[in-house]
Amino acid sequence: MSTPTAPSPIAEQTHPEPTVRYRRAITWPLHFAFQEERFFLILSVFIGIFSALAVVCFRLAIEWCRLKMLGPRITPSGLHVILAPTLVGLVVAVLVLHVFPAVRGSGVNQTKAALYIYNGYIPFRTAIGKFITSALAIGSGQSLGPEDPSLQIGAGLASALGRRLKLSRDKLRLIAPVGAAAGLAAAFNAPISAVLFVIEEIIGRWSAGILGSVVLSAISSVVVMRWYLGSEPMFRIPPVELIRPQELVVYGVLGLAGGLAAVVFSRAIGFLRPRLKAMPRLTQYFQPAIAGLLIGLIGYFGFPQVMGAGYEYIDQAMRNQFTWQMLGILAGLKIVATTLSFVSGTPGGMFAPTLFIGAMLGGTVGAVAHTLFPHLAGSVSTYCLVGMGVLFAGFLRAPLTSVFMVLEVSGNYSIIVPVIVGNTLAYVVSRALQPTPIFDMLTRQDGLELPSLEEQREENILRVEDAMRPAAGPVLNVDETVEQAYRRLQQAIGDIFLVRLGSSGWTSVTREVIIKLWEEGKGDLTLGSAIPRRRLPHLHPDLALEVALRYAQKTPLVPVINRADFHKLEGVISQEDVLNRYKLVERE
Amino acid sequence: MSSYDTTVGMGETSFPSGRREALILFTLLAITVTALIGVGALVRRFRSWQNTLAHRMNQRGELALKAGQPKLAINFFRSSLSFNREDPAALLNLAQSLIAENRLDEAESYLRTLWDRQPQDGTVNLELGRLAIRRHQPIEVLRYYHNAIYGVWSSDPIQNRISARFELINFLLQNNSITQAESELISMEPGLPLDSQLHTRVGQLFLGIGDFRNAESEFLQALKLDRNNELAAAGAGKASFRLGHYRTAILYLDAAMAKERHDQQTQDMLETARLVLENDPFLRSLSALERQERILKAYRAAGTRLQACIKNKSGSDLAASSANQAAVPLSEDLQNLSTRERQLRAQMTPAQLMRNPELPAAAMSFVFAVEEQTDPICGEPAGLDEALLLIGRNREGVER
Repeated sequence: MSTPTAPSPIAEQTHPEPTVRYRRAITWPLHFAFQEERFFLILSVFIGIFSALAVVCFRLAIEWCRLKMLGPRITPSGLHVILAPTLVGLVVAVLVLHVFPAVRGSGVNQTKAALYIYNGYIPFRTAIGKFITSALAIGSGQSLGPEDPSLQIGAGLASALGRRLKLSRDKLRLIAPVGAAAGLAAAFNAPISAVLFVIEEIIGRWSAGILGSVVLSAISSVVVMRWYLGSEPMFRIPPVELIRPQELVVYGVLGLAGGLAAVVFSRAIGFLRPRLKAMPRLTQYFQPAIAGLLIGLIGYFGFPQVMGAGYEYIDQAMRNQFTWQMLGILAGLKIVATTLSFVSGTPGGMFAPTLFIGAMLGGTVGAVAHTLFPHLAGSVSTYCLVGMGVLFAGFLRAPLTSVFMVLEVSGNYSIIVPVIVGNTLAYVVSRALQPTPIFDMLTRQDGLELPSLEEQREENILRVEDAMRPAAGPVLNVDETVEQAYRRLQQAIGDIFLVRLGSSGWTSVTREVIIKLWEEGKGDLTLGSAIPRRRLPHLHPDLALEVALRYAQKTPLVPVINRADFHKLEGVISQEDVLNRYKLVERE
Repeated sequence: MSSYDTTVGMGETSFPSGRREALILFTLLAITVTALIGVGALVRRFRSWQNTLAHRMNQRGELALKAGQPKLAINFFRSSLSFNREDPAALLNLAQSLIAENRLDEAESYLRTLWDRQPQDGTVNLELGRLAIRRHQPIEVLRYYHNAIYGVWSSDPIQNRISARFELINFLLQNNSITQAESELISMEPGLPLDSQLHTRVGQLFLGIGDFRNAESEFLQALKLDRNNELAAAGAGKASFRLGHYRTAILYLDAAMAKERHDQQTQDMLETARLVLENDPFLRSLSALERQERILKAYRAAGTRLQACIKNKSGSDLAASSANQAAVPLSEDLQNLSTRERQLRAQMTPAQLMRNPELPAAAMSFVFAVEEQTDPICGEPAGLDEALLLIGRNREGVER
């Protein structure tokens, strides 16, 4: 018997000392909060905040460079229009070739490669390099945008943070897209578009596992960005009212034009980029400078609008500042300028130029339509906005993102019908004439093979119904006797037979077992009492064939049953059936 | 156990306590707060620099606009807006420059942006109203001008509202919307400050649209505030004249004539008013003899006017008939008047006028009929004829 002063172990367990209780009270919430999934979600918020801060600084850096190099006037003039992009091109080339070799291009593919090839690894140096070189290039007037670099900067920051915190490989791999979404959301002031783009282009598949983190980082990023730079939508247009459905025809024409322009744009890049890349290394010191010189000349000879990201000119186009001829010229020249900047290896993004080209093209179509049909209700600004979405859908081939992007950058939901019409047509035209999307084309030119959501969409998915066959023999019931089963099997072919287990599912029995039971004189026993009730996994006809493969490895015959009636057998499938179907596809 | 416990080891020591994660989060939080403050300071500094540049661009734009170079001004204002695209002053300046460049669509786009943000802003509504005037959109004009009149003004709201109202009234008068213009003037009247010039202006507008009573009231108010306001005096005189208040009219028209600046109309009105008072046989203070003399004088003048008119009319009709090879008879009214004149001629003596109490009224009725009938067909009367016409009309008004 224990003394009153010496508490039993049970007593200690049930009535812990105050210090222990206090420690438990403290650690329990930590315990709860820091289960890995939740910790990753909390981390996503921090990634969003850091990415937004980086993007805010990035935008200030671009603006600072622009003001210092091109002056405060919106339409730069004078010789520095030529000199700034040329000289900065030389500096950027040296930086890219010697200090930051991984910063070429837009950054979208690099982030995708980090996810699928490098286990989420993006060197911090790359993020820094992207920041510096892109700010210099865009600020000096190269025809590139800040969004894709922002995406890579966000991903780079996230990756560095993940490595610093020594996250698991799984989480480290996922952290780059989380940062990418945050970076893009801050750059675009559009969280939904950023999330969709990361899913459509970076991750390449709908993954519920990462969606929460991506959304959280995008939202927190946008909140911080808006805190510093304001919450106004990027463009403002009056509400759109479709008075006549015939107006959609014009938006359809815009979709077709956008699809063709997107094909021209992506083919120009696809043609020139590998050729310039293959040129001797010495020439690569001069490629960005030559691109800068040519763009500077375009600016000097009357079209400075094509220099830089060009958002202010999109705004002007929306306000009817340009004639349709000017809008058309600007769209064409921007394709030339952006192609030059991008293929020369200058770091910078293609989002802003794509929006610029789309806006100008949309404005052209809208202005021409207004001249021909003055009763049209949609203003030129509406066409500019729809045009942006159209080229986004056609060139970047992210149809969902393109729709939401237009809604978010304008804050105007009334435009959705024209946007869907235009974007769909542009996407269809572009896909028909240019089967490989631009980002896939770029990764393949770089010698990488990364998964693509568009290709997945176009793949023919094999399903269970493609490989299943009708059950060869009779389907037995659990309340049948062994004798009855034996008699029925005598006329049947095959060695394995399914047995219906009342309401609890299915099992199987071999011919050999039934014969053995009958020979042992157990003919009067029911199958339920004579054979083991090992329930078989079952499949449904619409499931992917790869699911069937998983089950068919363990079970010789898997029942395929109706989703609405579990007793109704649609067919059976075996491992051999699955393999035969795959072989057939190979032969096809 | 979580996956990261098994691999790189962050959780090896942490789970189940989670202390390391807590430490990480506190560290991240500290870094976040520091970064937020740091970036905040950077953004503020950058914004301040941008605002300086924006202000400079705006100033240069204003100078260019004042110098009559709207194209250059547009570039400066756009540059200013590139630093702060929400700056209402720059947006408004840009819209005004675009209007000056006759780029109305663009201007409207910027003004609408401003209007979306501040639909009650007086300046923006006024500019939209002016734009609507240039585009001949009367409904929009009324809408935006009323918004401007009842809107919010950042400085000198009363003066700005009055100016906006005057602009609207001028537009309405130019478009012959007299009733609307009058209602605007009436709405404006109670809110007018004690400013003689303003009351004079309003009075002149009332006078222009034929609302003589309100015009007289405004001019009198103006004179009350500044008795040396010769425009108000002339206006009061004219309004009184039109109302048939000839004594008052003479008083004010005389006062206006005493000033250096006066117009011919004032002088003519003064003379006519005097003639009216000198020849009106219905004035109460007249003696019987004086009244007879005035009636006889009026009758003679009317007879002369009638004969001149018939002669003039016959001459012109003759010329017309010789051209058309057909005789045109004298109008029935003039024939009747001529007959009446012949009938009255014998009776029109001082004695008859004394004896026959019906005769003065019949004679003056004839006089007024002659002046009324001959006015549209034989040209505007002058001198005594005009006075008699006014006496007749004034008399009719009194009788009505």
